[in-house]
Amino acid sequence: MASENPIEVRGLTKSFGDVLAVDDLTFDIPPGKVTGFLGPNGAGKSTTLRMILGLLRPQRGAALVLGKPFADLSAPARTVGALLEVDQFHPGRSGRNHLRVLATAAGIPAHRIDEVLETVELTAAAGRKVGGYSLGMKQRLGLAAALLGDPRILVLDEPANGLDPAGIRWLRNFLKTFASGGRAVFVSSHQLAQMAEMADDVVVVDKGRLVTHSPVDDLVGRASVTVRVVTPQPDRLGELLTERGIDHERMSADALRVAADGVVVGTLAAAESIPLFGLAEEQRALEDVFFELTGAHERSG
Amino acid sequence: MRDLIASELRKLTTTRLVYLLFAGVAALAVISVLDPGTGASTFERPFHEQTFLFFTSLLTRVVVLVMGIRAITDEFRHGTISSALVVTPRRGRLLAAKAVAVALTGAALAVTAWAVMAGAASVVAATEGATLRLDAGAWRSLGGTTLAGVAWGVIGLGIGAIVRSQIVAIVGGLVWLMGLEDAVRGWLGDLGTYLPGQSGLALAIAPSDRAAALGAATLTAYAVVAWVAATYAMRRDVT
Repeated sequence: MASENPIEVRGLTKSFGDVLAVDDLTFDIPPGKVTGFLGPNGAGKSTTLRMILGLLRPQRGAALVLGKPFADLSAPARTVGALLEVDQFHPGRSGRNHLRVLATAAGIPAHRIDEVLETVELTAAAGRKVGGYSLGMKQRLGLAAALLGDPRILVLDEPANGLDPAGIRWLRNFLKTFASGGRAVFVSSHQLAQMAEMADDVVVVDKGRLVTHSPVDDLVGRASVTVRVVTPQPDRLGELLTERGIDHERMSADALRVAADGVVVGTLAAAESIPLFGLAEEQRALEDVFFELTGAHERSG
Repeated sequence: MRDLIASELRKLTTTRLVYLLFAGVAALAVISVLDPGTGASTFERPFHEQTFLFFTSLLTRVVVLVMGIRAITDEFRHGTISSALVVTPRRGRLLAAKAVAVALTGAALAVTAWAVMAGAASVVAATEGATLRLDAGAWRSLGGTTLAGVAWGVIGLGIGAIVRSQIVAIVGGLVWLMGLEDAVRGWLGDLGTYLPGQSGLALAIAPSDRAAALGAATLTAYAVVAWVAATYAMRRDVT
């Protein structure tokens, strides 16, 4: 029991009409880590999370929580805390009453309500109707609901949406602390930059398929330095770079982007007497890595 | 299961809707009594023949039906069904707890309507120099109204769980009760007595225990069918 992964996804497949939303997805979520779930909008992240939580029935495959289908857990609220879409509250019910309804159903003692409200810093607004809450407040109320049962696993769908920078930093620290005690966090996002700071590992999906499941540092590492070189002899410089096995691409009639730092390119050009009119180092954005992994720019561009 | 029922009752009591519905049935009961047809001589008639009982029964069932529909469609409309099912993944249990909560609330609405109606009728009778006769038919109508409240609540819950769309369920329910059923009844002849609206009215304003029992059996059968169908309908995906 102790060695098994809290969440196991095996060949999970789901389509809506003609649209294949999740396509033969397989991965494990280990304990003691924050695992990010990354992909562009429409990649099948929410559908996958809903199948893990038993809200959607997979066409094929299975999603297991502690080795069982979610509906077979004996104490679901004490096992998994979930935050799905941001605005899933009755606008006429107060935040405290929303938590009370859930706590009552799960047999969770009332003092937990005060504790989770304190944790997400929502105590002062708890008596007000949710209809008057800001997006960030709703997000924190949703997180409070997820924490009610003091669960071993957190499943969060885009929890950073609507949070201000201070809120995002708070969330990051909270999740890291939560996971460091041996519990599992599975958190979705469509921003690699956000995941880079929040997650230990990341499961990347695109068009319902698994792209990679790797430590987030591996992805961040791909955001390497390149230099943009402006020269009247781009062809000749390109040949020299190719001879030395340095990747490069032609940007325009007189510009190249080279996968090396400025010292390497400048030294090479000086040795071969190639004039340089410009040499600028560029940090490849995390977004570019994301686009490369998912091909998202092909659709949005 | 007790926790789940308590949770469902808490859902109903933590928004304004149910309080408005209680105020609604009370107001409709008073309006039924204030019908100009009610006068000193009409109080001579047996309780089950009183027009205010007929109107109160006619209006109360609509309010109770809407309560039952909203108990489930509010969850789909606002998305709270997701958090409810994450806490209670066994959907049959969630629906059963809802059915109990809705039945209790339906009964309470019906008793409130009946009590306000009887109270208002006594006052009107006194001002007319007459007395409201609380005969055996009166107590039968209280029992029948209460049971009808339970059944209409569960029927509403069933319709809501099957249809999911709040607007479609409410409009459909109202259209049926406020006219369509009468049209269908004309068509069916004697069998029309067994339609749900007719069964409910038969139960609430029955002239005899036998008629009340038949109405109770028929309406209860509709409630059971609605609940069973809803149990199957709840298995669908929740997006």
